Amino acid sequence: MMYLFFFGFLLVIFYFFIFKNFFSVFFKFFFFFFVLLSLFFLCENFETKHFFLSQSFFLSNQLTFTFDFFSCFFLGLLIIVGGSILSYSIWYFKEEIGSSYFIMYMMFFMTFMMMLVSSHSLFLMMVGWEGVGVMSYMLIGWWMGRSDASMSSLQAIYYNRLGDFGFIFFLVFALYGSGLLYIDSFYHNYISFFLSFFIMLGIIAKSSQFLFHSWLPSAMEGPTPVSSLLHSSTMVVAGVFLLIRLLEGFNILIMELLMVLGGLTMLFGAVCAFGQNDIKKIIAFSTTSQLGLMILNLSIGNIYLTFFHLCMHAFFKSMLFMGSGVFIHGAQNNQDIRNFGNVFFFTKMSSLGMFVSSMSLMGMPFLCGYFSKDLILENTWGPLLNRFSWFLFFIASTFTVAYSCRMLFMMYGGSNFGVYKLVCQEKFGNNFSWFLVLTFFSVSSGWFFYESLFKVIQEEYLFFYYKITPFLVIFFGFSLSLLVFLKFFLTMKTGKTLYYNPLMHNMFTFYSKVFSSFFWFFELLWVEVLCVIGLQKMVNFFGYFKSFFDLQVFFFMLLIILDLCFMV
Amino acid sequence: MTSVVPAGKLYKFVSHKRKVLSLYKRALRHLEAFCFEEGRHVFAYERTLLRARFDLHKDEPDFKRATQLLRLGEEEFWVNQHPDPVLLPNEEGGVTFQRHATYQVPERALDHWEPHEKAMFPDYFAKREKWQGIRRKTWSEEMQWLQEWDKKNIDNGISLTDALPAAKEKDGYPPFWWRTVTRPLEQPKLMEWWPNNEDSFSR
Repeated sequence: MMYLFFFGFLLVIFYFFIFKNFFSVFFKFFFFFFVLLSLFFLCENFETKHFFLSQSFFLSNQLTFTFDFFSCFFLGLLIIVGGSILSYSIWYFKEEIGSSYFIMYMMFFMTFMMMLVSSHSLFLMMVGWEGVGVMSYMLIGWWMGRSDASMSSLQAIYYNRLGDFGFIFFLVFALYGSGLLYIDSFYHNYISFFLSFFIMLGIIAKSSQFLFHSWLPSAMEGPTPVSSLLHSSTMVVAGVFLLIRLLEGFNILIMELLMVLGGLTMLFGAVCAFGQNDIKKIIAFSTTSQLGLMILNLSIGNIYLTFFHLCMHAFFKSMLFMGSGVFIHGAQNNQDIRNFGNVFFFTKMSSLGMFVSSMSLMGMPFLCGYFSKDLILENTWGPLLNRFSWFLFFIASTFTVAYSCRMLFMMYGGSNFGVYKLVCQEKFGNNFSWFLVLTFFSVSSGWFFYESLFKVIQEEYLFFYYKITPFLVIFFGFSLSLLVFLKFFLTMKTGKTLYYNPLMHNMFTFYSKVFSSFFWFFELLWVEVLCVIGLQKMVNFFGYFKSFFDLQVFFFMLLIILDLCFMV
Repeated sequence: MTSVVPAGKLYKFVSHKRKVLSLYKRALRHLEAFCFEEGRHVFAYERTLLRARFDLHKDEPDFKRATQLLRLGEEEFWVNQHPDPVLLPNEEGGVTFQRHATYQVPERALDHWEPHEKAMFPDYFAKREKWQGIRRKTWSEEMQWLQEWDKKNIDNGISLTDALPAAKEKDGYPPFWWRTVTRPLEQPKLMEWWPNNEDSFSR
């Protein structure tokens, strides 16, 4: 049954040739089915599966897959995040030539990523590792006529190749040391230093740590769905994932080196993001910073906590990219936040996503990022050999809050700026409602997964002044951004209207259909809420489902209900 | 400081007025980037001062002095430029610059169409055959014609520009006419009117 997972995505590509006309509809049904399957895989545990081949060649008896906790959880996450992004990219690339090739490339990428994540043999993991690098090359250089994009895709290949050099040396040392290429066949011996050193090269190149980071901002030349899927959630965490798998046999000296490197990366990324003006580059450096945090955390030894943060990070970071994609479409391909201003009026849904994701990233209490980030902050108060790295982590967290607030202020504030007024993307013809699934996960997944799966992480019982550190981080970061951008904060507007405006009628009916009476109630409080018509519409709530020709929203509601059942 | 002049765009053939105006526009854009954090009123004040500096020498009678001033201005701009100016997307250095080049297909791709596809547009392909006949006729003479034009200009002491000679007869063919006539669209669009489009994979 597990092999369906791999062949499933290849089957989609096969079906695509047959059902070209109805691909988007077919894909939505297919995706929903896989989301349901993924919820099962979150709960079950499978053992290692071997490939039985009739021909024997070198390593033919070592082609194995494992579906343990990390694999199952990440596969479910990959399908949820990847499916949302693919559905979003159907809208994003509506006017683009060759959009079907794009979806095919993304499907291939997801297949390789699944192979990387669920492989027990390092040989198969190498196949997936290289495959995601190749697909990254093809997707970053999507607009190949643009010389900057071609160069950036080549740059990504060069940096990943440096890492592959280390990976191959690692394979050589592993074969020499134990004769096996399994991920759990490492123990501390005289060659563990060399093993750790060479795989460290692979990890820092793939996961863009300090000296190997420059390919990630250049990778923003690719389309926004590529940045959202590859360069925030899945491909760049391949290195971190490998380290999670291999940490038991890792050498202590290399772990110390990674701790410092992770801290440096975190600070570097956060400080660079504070000075960027291109919205995608801000989020790219933010990704670099969070990857540094993950590496730092792993070097201390918190495996499950890092994995938890990896998953939460995937939800809110891809959400940030997708929201920025809506703004980019609205500003006619302009990505400079100095040209945005007062965008809230036309982007209510996307702004919801952006705010929730940014708050998650900052570590605002009880959103999904809080549960992982707060636990990390608490766990690093314990005895450490290297206080310098922890100090870097604290400063970098402050800058994380600062650049998030800066981005939000410059987009939603500034009544004197805003050269461009956005073209409204949230209208009936455009359907990118699947991205709200990630908003839902950004809010609820932290608490849900903490209570159900990750509560076994060792908790620290801290003194009061240590416990309020995350809140101090938020406070200092917010005040840092206010110091520089106070006037943007003061000019933030909400786009309220005090009376019924016929120009807003279209937007109002759109939101009322999507969010029904709940949102509508708060939108026109001072106009109609207490009138008879309003009450009638609330009573006729269930009658709205008759007008939903598009079944996406229906499946979304069904997904929410199912999730609530699982919570119970 | 010999390389601050933007020489890549046939700079030596452009008139002095255009050079000055282009410098002013670029300076204004970079000034806006510098004054962004302080506020719009600061930018308004600074751009007035910049305009005054340009207006001080706008009626310079001596062309050598004017060229020297322009050169000094370009150097000053290069030294004081903003590291991250606000760029338009389709501008050089912008986000969507050259993006359309991905979909620009050269005209010779029409040679590779299948006969059943060419049969959909019989009048166009008939005309195209005629044009290609004319092109074969004029091709051998074009290079010789351009060399004669340059020689004539050099003999008369006229400096070389990027102006090409006019056509030899009324409604005739100027040099390099084929390149201009068959240039691809700047923003190629998908042919949604193409029949049976759903069967094609590249939709």
